[in-house]
Amino acid sequence: MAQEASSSTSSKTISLKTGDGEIFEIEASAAKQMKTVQRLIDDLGDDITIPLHNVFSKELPKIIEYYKKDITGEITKDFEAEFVKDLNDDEVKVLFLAANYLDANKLFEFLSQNIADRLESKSVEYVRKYFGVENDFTPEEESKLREERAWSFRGIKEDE
Amino acid sequence: MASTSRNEKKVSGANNYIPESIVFPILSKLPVKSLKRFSCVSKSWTHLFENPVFINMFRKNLVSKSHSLYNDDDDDVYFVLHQYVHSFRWDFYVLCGEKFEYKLKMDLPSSFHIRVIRILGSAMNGVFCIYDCDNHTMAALWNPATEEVKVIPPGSAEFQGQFTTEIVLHGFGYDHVTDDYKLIQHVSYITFNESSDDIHGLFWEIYSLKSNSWKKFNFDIPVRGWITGSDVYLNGECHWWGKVNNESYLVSFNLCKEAFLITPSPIENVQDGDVDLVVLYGHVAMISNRNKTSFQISILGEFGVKESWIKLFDVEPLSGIEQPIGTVMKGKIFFRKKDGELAYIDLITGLIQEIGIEGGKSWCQMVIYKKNLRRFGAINM
Repeated sequence: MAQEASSSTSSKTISLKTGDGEIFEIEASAAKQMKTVQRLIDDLGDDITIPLHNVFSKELPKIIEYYKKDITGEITKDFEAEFVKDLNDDEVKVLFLAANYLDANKLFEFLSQNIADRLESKSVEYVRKYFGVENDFTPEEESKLREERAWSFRGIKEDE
Repeated sequence: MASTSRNEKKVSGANNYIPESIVFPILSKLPVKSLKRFSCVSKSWTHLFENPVFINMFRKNLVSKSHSLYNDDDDDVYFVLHQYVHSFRWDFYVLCGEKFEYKLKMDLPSSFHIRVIRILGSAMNGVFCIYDCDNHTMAALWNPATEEVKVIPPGSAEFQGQFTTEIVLHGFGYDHVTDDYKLIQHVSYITFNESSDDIHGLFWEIYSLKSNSWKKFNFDIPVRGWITGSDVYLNGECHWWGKVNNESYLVSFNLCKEAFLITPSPIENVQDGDVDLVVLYGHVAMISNRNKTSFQISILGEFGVKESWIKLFDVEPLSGIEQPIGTVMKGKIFFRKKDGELAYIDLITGLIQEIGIEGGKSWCQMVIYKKNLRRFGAINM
């Protein structure tokens, strides 16, 4: 609960509190990479536990893990592949939205590429559901458009 | 009652709904085929490529992807400028540096006695194919790093009094599957008449450096729309702009498979010289309307699909610019200025930079050259 003062001046830690009430520690240099967090630190000071209403205890540790690697310059293609390996599409989406809320650019870019890779061969219905987009076509309009774009449906399974 | 249910519908959608500002960064990383399919998701998604915010992100992603693919900091990749000076004198320069500020004049081999020199394709694999624009039977392969010259032997064309034999080189490139350099040319026997021309026979032939011989084929490929039209080589394929029955096509010839694919032009009524083919961010692209003051650059998303040409840039008229040379290098498009100087525009930043060379009035060609110390002899078996 109380923040731990680090002995070395370069590794001050910041306390972050998730929307569901859990507290995690992060190094100040990592916090700098999340612009939202940095803004809150600038406003509230770095001795206070920073509240993050829209990030939850399931995601934050993963995000902290990413930036821990980032500040030591250890982010490689292998690390990134491993990082998302066991996440399903919805879990990646939640992480992605958290990265957006935190204004954590590097993670945001990496996850947006990963989601793009996951969606590349998916069906239209899957993508609609995934982004919560309503189908505002009439059945006639949609079938006409699908016919025009038939080439883009080649090799794609139309179920989820 | 009705309004309540509509609100309910909105609320259930809102739980899941993600705004465009967050969706675009994901979508802009997708290939053209996926994006065109997802245009069926909703009405606003149909117009993605017309949305300037989206196109901007899409372009930026193409740029960063191409940097990682093509190793922009590859020291051995240069750009060779070739131009006509006067009295059949030709200058070859190797250009390198961030702003192409380093110029090295290249000496052509003394054995070259070609009057109207033109480069076919590019020298991405270290070898140039130089030929005489007036007489395509005069062609040679040249590796400047090893100083080797290989004169291309004649093909199967016959020369007889009663007709004109027309030979047109179409493409040159490297076949990584068979480790060979290949050329493709078209031969036709024509009688020129008052009203129309009679074609007595025609065929295609492919030259292989390995076998040092030509092989005939009976493909039905569209021939080059105009002799001085551009051609590009990319990833084992030669691409040129072809014409059949007044319809224009991008022809893509795969050197490895010795097969071809055609893609219809996105614009109608292409006149000679209207269009240039270039390689942009690792994709085949076209510069259209280049004879006018403003022009467009479009990339091809999916070979064979007319609908997959995506317009990336609309270049506004710029004062002082006469005409694009028809070359794009590292996302920079090269021009001749009204004062004769050569310059380029960085398509992303819009910055214009002169390169300190005057452009020849006619004939200014730039190709990619990557040094290759491997001798022809190593390939010729």
